[in-house]
Amino acid sequence: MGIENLISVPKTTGPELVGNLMEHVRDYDITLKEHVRVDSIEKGNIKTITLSSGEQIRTRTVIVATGARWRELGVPGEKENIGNGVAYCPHCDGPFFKGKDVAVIGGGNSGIEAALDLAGIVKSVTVFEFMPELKADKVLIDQAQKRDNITIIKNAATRQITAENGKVNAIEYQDRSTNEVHTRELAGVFVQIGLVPNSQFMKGTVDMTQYGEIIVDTKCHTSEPGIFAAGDVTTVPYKQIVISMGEGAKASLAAFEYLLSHEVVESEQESEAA
Amino acid sequence: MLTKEILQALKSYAESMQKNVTFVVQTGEHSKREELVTFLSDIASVSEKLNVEERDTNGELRSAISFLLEADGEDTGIRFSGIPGGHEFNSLVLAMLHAAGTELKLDDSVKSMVKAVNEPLNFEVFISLSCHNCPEVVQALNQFALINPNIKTEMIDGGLYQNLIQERDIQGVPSVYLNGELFANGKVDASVLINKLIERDPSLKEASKGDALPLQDVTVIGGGPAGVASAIYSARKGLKVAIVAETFGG
Repeated sequence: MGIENLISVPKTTGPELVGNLMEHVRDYDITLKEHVRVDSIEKGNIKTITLSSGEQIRTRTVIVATGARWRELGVPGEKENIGNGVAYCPHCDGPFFKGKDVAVIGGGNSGIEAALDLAGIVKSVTVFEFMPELKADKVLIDQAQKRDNITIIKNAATRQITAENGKVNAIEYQDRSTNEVHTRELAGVFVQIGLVPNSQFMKGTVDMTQYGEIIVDTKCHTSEPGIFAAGDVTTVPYKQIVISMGEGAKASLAAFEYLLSHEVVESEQESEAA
Repeated sequence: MLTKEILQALKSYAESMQKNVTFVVQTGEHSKREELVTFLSDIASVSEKLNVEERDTNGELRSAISFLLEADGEDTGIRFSGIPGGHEFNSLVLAMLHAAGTELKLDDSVKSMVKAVNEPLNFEVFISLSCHNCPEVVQALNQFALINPNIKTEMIDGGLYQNLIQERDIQGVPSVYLNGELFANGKVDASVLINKLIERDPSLKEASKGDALPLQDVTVIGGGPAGVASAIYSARKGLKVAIVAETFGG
């Protein structure tokens, strides 16, 4: 939750940063539509965005900056048991597993940090890493190895999460070197395997990579004229707050350039509205 | 429990209150009751418009550490079971200010939709005071309750209601129940609540259709660092900008 790499702001937290972002937005005449989702975007000189509330917004340009979310494992028993033993936020849900055995899936920085965080609360933590080696920073791995209630299992493919009476009771995984299948009894599974772009609603509207990242050029143009994209939802490398902010600025300047060279033809506007 | 600085800040917020707000605490016995009453009395000390009253609500409230908010003597539908400190302190302060007439933070189309609900909705939100995702859900539901008298909502601190947690088998927060049935748990935020309400009653969509915006130059989808940066840069160029976001902060 702590953020210490937002340059010129030595220390902040997620919620504090959100508060600051909101405060900055309020300094300007910007219309906010919160708590609604975009259902679809109709292309054209003037684009029509349909929201989950049924409302429509007509707009000359669109900037997609929907970010990325925690990646799901995609194994049986995961979706079914969210909130019943499957969790994505160790910070929030860790206390519910006090004195119990839990697993962390993923041996990257977020996985090892989660394990260290949980080790202070729960009885034991088992970290499952798909690859033969952990991807986390050495300092974190060293700390994890010092804890006697953290076990690390590498080269392990999670096959399913099982539940009994509506609660997670075990995880089944395959040792990728021997192909043997093992079961480990536990009460909770914390999934920490990186991010996936929030781009589904743009499918068919703009070009994406196989991972769902919206393909952008150096000026944040997508494959569709007048639609721009910025930040973690795009192909821009390195998902960092400072990078996202810079990308957002670039996308709006590129949108400004586009607007200068694409005047609105009123009659066209009327006919499209009709 | 509340520092001088916090009370000072509350005092300045309370100056904008238009209505009287009363914290109605259920009578009865509980080991935490004195702490709750002191907590609420400290808050109420900052303004004449705030009062604490101990009353038997005849089953309206869950236990002796539950309270509800009344605005000018009318039930707001907002209830808290537990002591809303920690991350929920803001939820209490906002509920109090919103009940007193401060403008709600919800989008107009969401307000129209919530206003259109015509059946009784009783929400129960299980939280923990260390959960940073929970206040958003509590605050959204509190505002729903203020918009529509058909809606009631209760924040429940899971830590103080272990029996209930076991009975409902709750392992993650926020966990939201509607009319006694599980409504949403796991990754819940305000937009999830709204989408679930629409799923439940698709006719609610009709209510918000009248609020169309004029033609925008730039519409930003997403309210994280990239979205906010692009909206601000666009606004600085004098463009007409809207941000559409499920949640601010990305």
